[in-house]
Amino acid sequence: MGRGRAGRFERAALPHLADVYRFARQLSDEQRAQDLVQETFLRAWKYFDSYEDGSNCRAWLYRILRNVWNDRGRRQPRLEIPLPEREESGVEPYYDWEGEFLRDELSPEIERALAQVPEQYRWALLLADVEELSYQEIARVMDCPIGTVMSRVNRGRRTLARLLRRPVAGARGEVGEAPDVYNLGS
Amino acid sequence: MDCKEFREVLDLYADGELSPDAASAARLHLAECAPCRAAERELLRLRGALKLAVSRHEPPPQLVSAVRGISRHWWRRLMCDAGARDEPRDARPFWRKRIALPAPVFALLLVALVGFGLLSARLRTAQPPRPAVRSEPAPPTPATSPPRDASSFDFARFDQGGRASLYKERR
Repeated sequence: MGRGRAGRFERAALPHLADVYRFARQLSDEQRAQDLVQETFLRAWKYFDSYEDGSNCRAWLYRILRNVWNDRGRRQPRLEIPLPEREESGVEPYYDWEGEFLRDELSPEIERALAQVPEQYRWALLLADVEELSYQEIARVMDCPIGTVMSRVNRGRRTLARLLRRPVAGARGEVGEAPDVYNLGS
Repeated sequence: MDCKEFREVLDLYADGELSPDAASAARLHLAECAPCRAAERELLRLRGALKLAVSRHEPPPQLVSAVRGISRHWWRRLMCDAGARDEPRDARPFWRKRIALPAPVFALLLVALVGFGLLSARLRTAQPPRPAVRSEPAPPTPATSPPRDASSFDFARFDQGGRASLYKERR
């Protein structure tokens, strides 16, 4: 170790600090997200010798975050409505995203809905859609087979869309209902 | 590929996980199917909205400085290297434990130790130089001999330099 190791760490891992924090923020509140991120980077520093230069450092950090979360985060889960964790062997085949409910100003609603997506689906959804990791990388992060990743990504998207489709209070206080994105038009 | 087949692989297609052949078939279907194009568009919009929602959060400055300090401050590095919270506790008595020091700290200690040794050795050898007259062996004077008269005392026996002559002149 030495300055060289510290320099490599700063170049490879630190640029992903904001991404890891944003991810952690979707798992818990601000204070606990900070704790998670700090612990993640402490472990990353400690085990930095196991990181292979040139590999995806972000995916490596998310794997550590996952371990930290498993060790600590789960003890105090964020608000989560109990949705049945159905069997994950297959992908739900037939769904449609048609609808105009996804507007930029709905970010707080999207976050609230995301907070209610079951934890495993939320992880897969964030890793696939926000972090744009490959299924292979997500499988390594979540320590599960690729088939399970496919299923979780699929169910995560469906669940999020379903939650967003619920009656929501509009900006002016009125209650509306987003279009049904599951009605296949064809 | 028909609509049902396309919807089954929509996630894989949008995530770039289809094989090249399957991706070509999906693209062909998309080119001729407006509802499936809309479905893909909405999936991409969902992804965009999710990214936008997540990107609203910025890491607070104290977190940034704390994380940066992990690799910058040697004491944090030491704490991190030595104190692994999740490692099993070592049950050996402390005198049997291996003390692991980071290389720079070890080198620093080594340099300090060698420097101290050299300094103390040099101090020991570099005593203040005695006057040349003291280095000459003086004949022992018996302690029991009676005090002699100062006028009959030959100071030249002890000091053959200027001090003796000066003393004689004063006398």
